[in-house]
Amino acid sequence: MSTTWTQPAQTLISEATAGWEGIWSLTYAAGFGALNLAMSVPLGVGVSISYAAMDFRDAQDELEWARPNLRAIATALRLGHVRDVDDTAEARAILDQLAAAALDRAAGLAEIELDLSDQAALSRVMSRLITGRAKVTGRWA
Amino acid sequence: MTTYADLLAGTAKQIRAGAEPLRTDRLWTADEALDAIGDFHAVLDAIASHTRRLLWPAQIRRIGLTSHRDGAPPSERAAIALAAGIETLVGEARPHPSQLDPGTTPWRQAAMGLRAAADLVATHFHFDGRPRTPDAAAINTCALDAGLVQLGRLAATVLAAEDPLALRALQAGVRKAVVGKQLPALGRLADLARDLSAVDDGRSSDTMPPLEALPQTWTPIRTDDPVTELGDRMHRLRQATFDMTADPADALATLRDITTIGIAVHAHTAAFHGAQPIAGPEPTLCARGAEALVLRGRAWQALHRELSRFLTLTPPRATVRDDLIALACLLPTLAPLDARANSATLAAQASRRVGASLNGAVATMTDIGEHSAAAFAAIASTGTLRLNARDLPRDLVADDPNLAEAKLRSALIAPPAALTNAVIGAFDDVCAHPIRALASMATTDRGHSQAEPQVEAMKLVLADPDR
Repeated sequence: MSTTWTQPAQTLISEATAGWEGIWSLTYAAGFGALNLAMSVPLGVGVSISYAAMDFRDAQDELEWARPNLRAIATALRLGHVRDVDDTAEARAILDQLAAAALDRAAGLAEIELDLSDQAALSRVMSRLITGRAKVTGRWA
Repeated sequence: MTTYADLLAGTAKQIRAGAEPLRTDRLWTADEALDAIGDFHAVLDAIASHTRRLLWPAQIRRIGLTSHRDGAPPSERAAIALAAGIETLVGEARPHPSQLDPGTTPWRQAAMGLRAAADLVATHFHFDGRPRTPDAAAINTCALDAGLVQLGRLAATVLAAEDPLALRALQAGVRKAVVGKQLPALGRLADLARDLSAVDDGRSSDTMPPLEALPQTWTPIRTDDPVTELGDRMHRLRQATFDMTADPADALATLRDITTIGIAVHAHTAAFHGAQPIAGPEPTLCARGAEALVLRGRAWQALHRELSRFLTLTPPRATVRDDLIALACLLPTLAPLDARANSATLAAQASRRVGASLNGAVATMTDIGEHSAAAFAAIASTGTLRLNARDLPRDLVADDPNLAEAKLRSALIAPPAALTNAVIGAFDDVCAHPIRALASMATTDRGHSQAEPQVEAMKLVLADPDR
């Protein structure tokens, strides 16, 4: 597990910018990883992870509606399938860390964004990231 | 939830209640007798207007059909003659005077029930006869003809009260000329009603005809009971996906979100049936019974991932998120994923009710899958789908230099047909019921969807071996 997800995720968390692109990259990685993790674990375990994937993707959509070019220019880290089911807990933790990093950056950006529609978009992004984190860590289920 | 059948059953009861006193009790005054004659006209007028309402979509659908050139079918001819005869008797004033007074007598309440049922039918169709709801889409001209036959039976019952009513009116002192004018020997109308009621309505004994199963188009969510709430919310989701087929422009995000409910419904139902989706080993492709539900959940997961490839260009105007959140809370309450035992075999009524509701949700997901597939196909046909070329599968890129170049540039492109066809194929995997060999019976205590009647006996037999 640590060889497939941990390293690239930690790199992204440390290197992602504090702006829209960084938030998008972190959110995309969390959503993509959640989709793959949900399919790697038993269906019942994957239900809450699929809900989290939905929330992360909704957050990603909000970012793209606010900044339509993000999908083309931002770094897209694709976390693949998790082969060992025993790594599920660690994979959940990594997704949580990615979402937390995106959340921190979104909160910081909302402090300095002057445009009201951008602030509103960031609020919606944060809302989705918060619910996605709750689901991926199992706190919400 | 009130259905068309409920309204008609109430109407039949009130018609009987209105006719019964004529057999045993006299009408004491002429005014009382005239009021009774007015109520009699009110029911007949309601039958006529209801008949016109059922004829309207049926006639629109028959335009251009061979049967239309050869003349209207017997039920339609008899229904038109009956409605015209009634209108001649009761007059053409609209609204009919009976509609302006409260329905305090059984016959007036019967008239009100009939008019409500006619309005219920009307809300399911556009003004040009196109269906507005998935329930209406399941109604063909045969179903409407069967509805006319039902009306013929009600009319025959009402008209059978004509002679006793005339006698009671004379007994109460109403002048013979007045009685003769208001109740002018309606034997011909009774014959028409009998002809109409004798037409074969094609009703089979084991399924509820689609017309009678029509529920309200607006779905109130009853939150006082988790089982009924599950049914209501699934019904509303089905309507939402049906609406998307007509206007799919911004439906992509909603389609994607709905897949998560497909996953959850099948996982929780599998848990209810003892499949242990949290711990159990992955079922084989030819799995049957509860394990087939796990496979179907996997199919929804695959669809979730496929749809996530595409860009969502605009926010959806109407979201289903409230229902998704509520369902995500309801399902664990009804069927925890960590259940170790099979609850479907328990005899307790509460457990059977939960099982029926979950099975109904599984069946409703097939409708939702079908409507979602139509909506996605419509979006794809408009050419507005976009995705980042880096999200293309490798096998597609390998044979196409242009796609390979776009992938290297991470360009936004229109998806190749092979990809959209693959997604449509993924929808095909969720459109059929995961368990094919089903006996018939309705399962939920709401209005019955087309799929729901097949669900009660989901005894976890024979899944599709090809899946």
